[in-house]
Amino acid sequence: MTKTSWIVRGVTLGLIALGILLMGVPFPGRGRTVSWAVVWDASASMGEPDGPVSRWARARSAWKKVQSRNQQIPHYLLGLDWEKADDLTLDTVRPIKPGCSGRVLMQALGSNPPDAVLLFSDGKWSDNADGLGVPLFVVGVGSEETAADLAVESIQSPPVAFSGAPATVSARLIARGPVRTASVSLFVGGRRVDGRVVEVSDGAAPVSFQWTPAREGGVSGEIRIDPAAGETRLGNNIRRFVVDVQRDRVRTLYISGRPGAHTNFLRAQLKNDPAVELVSFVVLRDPEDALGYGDRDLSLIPFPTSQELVAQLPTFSAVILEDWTALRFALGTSFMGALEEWVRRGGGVLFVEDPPSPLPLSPWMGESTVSGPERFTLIANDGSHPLLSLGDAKENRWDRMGVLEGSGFFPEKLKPGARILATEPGGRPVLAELSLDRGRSLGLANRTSWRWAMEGGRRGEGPGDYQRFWENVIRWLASSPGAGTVRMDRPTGVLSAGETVLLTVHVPVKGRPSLRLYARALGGSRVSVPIRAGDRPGRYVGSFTPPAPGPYEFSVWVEKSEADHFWGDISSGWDEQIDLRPDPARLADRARTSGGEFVSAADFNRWVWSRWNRQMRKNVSTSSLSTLFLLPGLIALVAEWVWRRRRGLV
Amino acid sequence: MKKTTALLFGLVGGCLALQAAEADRFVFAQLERPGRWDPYPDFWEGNVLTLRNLTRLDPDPRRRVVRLEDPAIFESPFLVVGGQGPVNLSENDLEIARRYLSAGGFFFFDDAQASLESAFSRSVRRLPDTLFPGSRWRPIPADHALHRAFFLTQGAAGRKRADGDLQGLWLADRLVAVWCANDLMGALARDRKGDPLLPCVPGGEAQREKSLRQWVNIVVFSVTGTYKTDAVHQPFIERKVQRMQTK
Repeated sequence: MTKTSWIVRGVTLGLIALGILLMGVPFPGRGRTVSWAVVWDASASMGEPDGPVSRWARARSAWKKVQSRNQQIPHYLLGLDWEKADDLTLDTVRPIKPGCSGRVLMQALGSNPPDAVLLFSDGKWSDNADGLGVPLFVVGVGSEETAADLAVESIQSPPVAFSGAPATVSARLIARGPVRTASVSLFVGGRRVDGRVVEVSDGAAPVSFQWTPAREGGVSGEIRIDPAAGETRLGNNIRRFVVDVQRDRVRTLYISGRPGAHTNFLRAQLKNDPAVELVSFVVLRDPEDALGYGDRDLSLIPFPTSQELVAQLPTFSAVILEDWTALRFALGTSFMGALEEWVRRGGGVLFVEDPPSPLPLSPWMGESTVSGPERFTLIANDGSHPLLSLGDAKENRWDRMGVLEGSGFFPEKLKPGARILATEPGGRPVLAELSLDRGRSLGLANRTSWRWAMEGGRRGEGPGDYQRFWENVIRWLASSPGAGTVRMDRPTGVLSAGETVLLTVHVPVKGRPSLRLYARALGGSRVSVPIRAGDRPGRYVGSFTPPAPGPYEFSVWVEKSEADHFWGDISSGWDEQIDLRPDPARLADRARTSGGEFVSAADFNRWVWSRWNRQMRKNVSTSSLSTLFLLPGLIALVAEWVWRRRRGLV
Repeated sequence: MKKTTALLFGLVGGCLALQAAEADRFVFAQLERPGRWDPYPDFWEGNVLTLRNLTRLDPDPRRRVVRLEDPAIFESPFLVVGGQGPVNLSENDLEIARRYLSAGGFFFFDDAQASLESAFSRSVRRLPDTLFPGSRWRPIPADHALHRAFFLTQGAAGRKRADGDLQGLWLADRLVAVWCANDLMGALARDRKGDPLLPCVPGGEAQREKSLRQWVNIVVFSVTGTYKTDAVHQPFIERKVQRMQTK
């Protein structure tokens, strides 16, 4: 070993040792600068109080702790749109955007996104920021302060009411902070019609009002809570509704071939529905039953003759026949013939039958059935169908309906033109409709819908969903608006002024009707809405942007007659007014899934910001300072070995 | 051959379908509770056929025994609370009972001791006010739909005559619970040979027959509600009642 060799080896080992020590340390000047974007949630909820200041002010105050060292970072104001902003002027901004959207954030960052995003928000977003592609570091603002706040959380009103018949409007009130009672009133057409004081010390309470519409047409109303002492959020104290008031009650004939829970619940429902005038018959015994008893012992009356029923048929708007197998002989073929003629002229008939049996008017075809589950949850194929729409709730309430129990047999085939509305989970039909000339027929292959009422009771919500379903059925059978062959989907969710409302019109696939679509504000004049072909045959779509909040009537016309109309309430803004509580859990979840972190504004300080920057530098840096030493060390090691070999020293 | 096979399959399928149609059957549910809650365990078995022979009801021959906290209670809109000893309900039980009755359920209380002063009757008497503050039992009037549900009946029948009336609990205008202090089920309970288990006093077999009619009415009322008060029935029923009274 020469002296040179020892020097080379020493240098080599030194380089390698340095290389190992500096692993993970980036090159000076490289990987040090992380490109950030700071995004500010500028939705109206950020103006809500967070202690003595607003959420917006709280967020700005947190940012100011690191502002001086980060003046080159771009800033964005985010709502349902976005705009670049100057950090220095952000203090003067009032957060008033109607909502905040993750989808818009993705648009704002564009095709050349920064390495990371720092977001100041309270979590009141109208959608998520999924697939952002960069880590989201979130500073959460807003606290669950205990200031008094009363709100009308939800409202349920019948879409259709009848002049002279009481209509019920119910609402759920929520209360936060030191509030024990709420003074709540029903206003209709701008006039207070009823009011009461409701106990809300448990945090929530239901309230119901009845009112009797006096005239036909669209009627706007609202449930309003008087402000509590010290309450500052007043936007959520009012919720509006709109009801389509029609002239006549629905005269309904209900004949059941067998008493049972279904008969009892449905009959009670129809009796209690102020829009229904009910005539009902239940077959309580067969001719061979109770033979040992004389007529004077029994309370039974003779079943009406077929002729009597046929004569009365034109006076009804809806007919329900349950357990037709038992009724077939009592009613006879002459009744069936008259019923078919009545339906084809515009009547509506419902057959409730389990197992289903073939009937000339029902949607089911043939005698064959298929077997399936005996217990099942009904799956609504189209929740926006007028039969299946359950109130203004945004969630799918059909998921929460009780389990039905049946014979386990389902119709195998449907008549041409019939449409399945609901199935058991395996897709076997349970509810279907069939248009017959100007009338309609409905088939329900189950007799346990009463279970929905009891399940609602078990959950503590009462039988509201059951009641709404049967209200829908009666109105559909009676050709109330939305029940014909040409009909519009009722949009779900909150409709806001300035936002486009999509109006979907369904028409029979055969033929090309001349359609016209109109929108009209209450008290205003009709505006024509452009209409175009939809994504499938028989479907047309119109777009309308309501210029101002309030009740609007949407109608579709075929030739010169109105085929369907409904009233919708256009709200003045995004529905964050309903619940303005911050949602830190949502923010934390978004941050974690994007690879970022969540911290509350109270914990956001220089140290946190530095830590984030350091972590990002590690992530962003692609090469390390160790390479500078490790690579020459290895080269020197190889070169020294080659040199010794040539010298014959190896 | 193919046609014959198809026909056979069709017939078998049809029979199966008819047999399987049990989903909306009348279910006799009985509350299990601490104490002697079930003095007549064979009551239902002995009375299914009676209901089937008299009416178009399709009763399930199997009795369903439930506790209040059992979710199956909400699958049984008719619930019998019978036996002896006090009916003590916890706060949770009361809340379940409130929800059950408000959603459409129906209670039938039957005192197996046939006494207004029994622990059972004393506890049942207090129940309405604890369930729905301010409410109380009221005699079911003679012209109520329950007394006209299938037979024409009056007053309260049962094994003994502790109370001349059936007592009713109303929620809004719906009769949601009936209390019989006369041991109605005891009057109809039979032994394995089909003989009455207990004598009816003081009316003997005529009293037993009245009990049968009242029991049928209670069951039929629970599945038809106020049907018999509909206008279409009134002239017929009033004529019959007048005939009964003139006799």
